[in-house]
Amino acid sequence: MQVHSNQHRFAQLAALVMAACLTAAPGSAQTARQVRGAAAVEPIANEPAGKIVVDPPLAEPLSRGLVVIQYRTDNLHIAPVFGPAALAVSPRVGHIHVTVDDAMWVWADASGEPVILNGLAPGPHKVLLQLETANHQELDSGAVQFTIPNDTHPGSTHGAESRPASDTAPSHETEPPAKIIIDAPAPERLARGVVFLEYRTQNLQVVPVYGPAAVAVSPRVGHIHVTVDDATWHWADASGNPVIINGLLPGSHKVLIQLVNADHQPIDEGTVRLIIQQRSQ
Amino acid sequence: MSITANLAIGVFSIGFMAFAAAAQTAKDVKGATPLVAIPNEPPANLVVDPPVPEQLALGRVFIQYRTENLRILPVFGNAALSVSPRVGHLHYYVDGQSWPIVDTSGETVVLVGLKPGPHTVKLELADATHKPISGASQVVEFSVPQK
Repeated sequence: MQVHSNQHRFAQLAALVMAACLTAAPGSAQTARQVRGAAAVEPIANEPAGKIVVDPPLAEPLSRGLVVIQYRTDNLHIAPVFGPAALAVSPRVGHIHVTVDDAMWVWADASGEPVILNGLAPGPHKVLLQLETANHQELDSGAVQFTIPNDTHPGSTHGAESRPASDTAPSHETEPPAKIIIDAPAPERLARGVVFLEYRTQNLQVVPVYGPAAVAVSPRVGHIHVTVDDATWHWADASGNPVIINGLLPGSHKVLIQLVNADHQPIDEGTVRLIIQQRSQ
Repeated sequence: MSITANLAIGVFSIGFMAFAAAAQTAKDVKGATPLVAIPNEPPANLVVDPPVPEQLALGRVFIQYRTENLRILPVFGNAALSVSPRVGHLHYYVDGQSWPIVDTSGETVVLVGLKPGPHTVKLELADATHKPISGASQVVEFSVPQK
């Protein structure tokens, strides 16, 4: 738009200010329903198509090499409900599949929490989020591309490079140590190429609560970090839902699940070794 | 300000209002990510909708709510008061009951089977030590129809 006069300039400025006000406080006047969508208890006839909106990674964490990708969905509740029967559930339920750097494999996330990756190598990366039905059919997708800066230290919150959790867990002297117990991959799913790992924790509640202050919460809270095939990077999951990975190439693979405290320091871990069979079709 | 300028503003603001929902980022709608602490987080706010009308007509009370600057989670105790972004949970009281029902699911409050007639439900946000948060409470009044 060309500016021909001060009057126009003023109009433009005023319009920009109004637009800024409207975008700055969009939530305040919105009802719970406008923001959260229909209540899960209320069936909806002819629900519009499910959609996903993916934000770019948060800038400040990205400068430290930590990738935090928020997303939201329209007309779909993210829920750990799977299978063909769940396709008929109304309002619609589903989950996301996450792909990093055009990998052949994805992991499923039904938590609705931001996607969190740490330890990616410096340089450009791409993360694809596919919105899936409960039966793993794609409804929509969004991708983000970003660059991990050079001066971060991949893996600094990962594995042996981290401080031991006992250094910073002053309030848990009386609480027994936290443990993770991981089941063997579900065999019938593994035969179909799907890695489905159920786990449970002892003396630690898995919740999306983070930061140094949360280390003092009692009973203890934390989450897991998942690493596939000795990658430099892992994703974080605070849902407590099973770890689900699909599309790994035939051959042997390794999935490391670390139990970490709210400040991402490892407490316990388990490694699952598995073989994906060549499939006939 | 001239008519032209006013008109321009009108058009711009209508455009932005119509566009607001579609253009909202995940962060706009869902709030800040829990992964990054928020210094001086604004006070917690509770927004409560009236019961879903179509369901109320059937005698089912579904009350949706949302929170700002507080995440509903089953995390309790003094130490959790220092967690940032803020965590807490919902208390609600039906028809003036003296004790709260504690809900940490973040899901719609569901009351089915209330007698026909007027009812009130008070919802309040509580901190991790169950202390009600000042200014974050709403009362919903409604009437369950005769069957």
